[in-house]
Amino acid sequence: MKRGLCFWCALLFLGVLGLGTFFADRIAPYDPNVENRAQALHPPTPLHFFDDKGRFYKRPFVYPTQMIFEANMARSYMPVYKKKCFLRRGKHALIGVQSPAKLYLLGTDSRGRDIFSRILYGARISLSIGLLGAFVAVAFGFLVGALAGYFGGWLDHVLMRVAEFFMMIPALYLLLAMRSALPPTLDSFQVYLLIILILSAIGWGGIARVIRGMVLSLREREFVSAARVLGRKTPSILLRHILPHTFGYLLVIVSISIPGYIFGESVLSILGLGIQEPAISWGNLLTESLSYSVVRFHPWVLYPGLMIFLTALCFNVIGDRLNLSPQKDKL
Amino acid sequence: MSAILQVKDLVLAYPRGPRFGPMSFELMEKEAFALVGESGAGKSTVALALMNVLKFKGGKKLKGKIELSCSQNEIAYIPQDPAAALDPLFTIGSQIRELGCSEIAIRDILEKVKLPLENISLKSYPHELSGGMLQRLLIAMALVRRPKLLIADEPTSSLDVIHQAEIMKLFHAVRAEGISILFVTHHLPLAMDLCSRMAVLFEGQIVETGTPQAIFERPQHEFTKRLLSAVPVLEVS
Repeated sequence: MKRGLCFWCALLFLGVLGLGTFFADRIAPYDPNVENRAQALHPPTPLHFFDDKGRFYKRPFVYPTQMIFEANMARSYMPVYKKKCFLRRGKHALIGVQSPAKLYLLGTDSRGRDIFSRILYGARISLSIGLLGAFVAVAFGFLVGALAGYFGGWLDHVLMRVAEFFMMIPALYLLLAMRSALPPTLDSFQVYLLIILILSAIGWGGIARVIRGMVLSLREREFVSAARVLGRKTPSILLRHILPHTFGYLLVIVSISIPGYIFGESVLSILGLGIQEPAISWGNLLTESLSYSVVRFHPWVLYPGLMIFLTALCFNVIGDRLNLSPQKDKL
Repeated sequence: MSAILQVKDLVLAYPRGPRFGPMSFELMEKEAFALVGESGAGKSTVALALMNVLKFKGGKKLKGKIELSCSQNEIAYIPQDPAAALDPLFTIGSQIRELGCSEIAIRDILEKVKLPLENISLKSYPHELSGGMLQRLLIAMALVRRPKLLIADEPTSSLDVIHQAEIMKLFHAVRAEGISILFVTHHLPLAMDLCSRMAVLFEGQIVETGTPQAIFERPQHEFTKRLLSAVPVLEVS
């Protein structure tokens, strides 16, 4: 089935990001928590193939920089053209550069930490919150929707009213209220788990409603009756005969809802309710960009935001192009 | 001979829908009994109630008793629409294996229904088989569990006359093996061909019960007379 170039590009981007995240400690040029205050808010280091005299080099190189203060005491980094520092394999990482230059592919933050390394490490938390949050919400939504649709009656009424209660409150307020209701003094891992639970609690209602509708229709199908006549138990019927028919929808909804969970984590972290330093997530990387003056003169602090945008876009493109109906494939 | 199934004053209903009954009938061991009637008379609803799955279709047993001398596991069901009875997402092989029978038993039973494995692939999906093949496959799947009671709900409704004749031969063979058959149909000649007794259902009530010959020769109810007169007769000059 043709899915189009956008789908494959999105998949490639997420694949590369996934690999980069998994091997962050082998790829990232610097320790994400090491501060180099002398090079705070350093702009992205440009890679050169031609020197200032126009000579071509096969191996890319960078110029070391020197910090100067401008008239208004703003920092500025000037390249020192006398010395060329070629790219090489780092001591611990794949990417490095000869000293004394530093390789800041996406610049540094206000404490002189490499944003590229921090984005790679931060993706571990942000992406896993997105994936786990979507998985938990979909699993719970499926379970509730399937039970409500399959058994009907009072169970259906009760479960659907609970789902509607979670759906009727605006997600952002519910997110903040739930986080505020829980203890503020938790360690990073507890906060991580808590955020996954909170985000899933917000997302399962809509999924449960759709699954209930699908199961209401599926339970009337002859092959489900046949399974009942064969004496199959309810869990077996739900998993063997009903789940596979909702799988296409679930896969699409997982893909489309992951960005929502990444946004949710970012919102909480920016507001200081989510992942806190020294743990790194894309959300808390964006706290740097809360000040207009920082963004105005050092726009590279927005790169984590760009990553969130691109990742969300890719998941949406994949969700949009996925149409995993095995019947459709085979007919 | 004792009864394998006894239905006493059974009343079935769908909420805000039709109501069927009260009706009573019994099916003896090794007997083929037909429930005949027009569409919507309640034949399939009775079959679903016998298998205890009516509640999942939104129906309800209001009154009456269903007494079985065998367990629910010993009842096999052949549904009306063979294409809908198999899960379209799985190969027929995986659906047969789900019955928990040995490979030899499956092979034997497929031979018996004239659907040998040389002719079909177990890797086929239901939509890749013809209506006749699917129906024979469903009969095989019903028989492989060695049931004591076989409930066949209009098993030939989607077949042409040649396949119908083949399937009816199969049912005769099943009956000869001593399996009781409840044959639900609106096709009178088929019921008369297979069954030793039959009940005529009209608007949810059994209006006539007897041997096919007695009903054919001396129909008592107005509906039975209409039903018999509607059977086409092939005249060849």
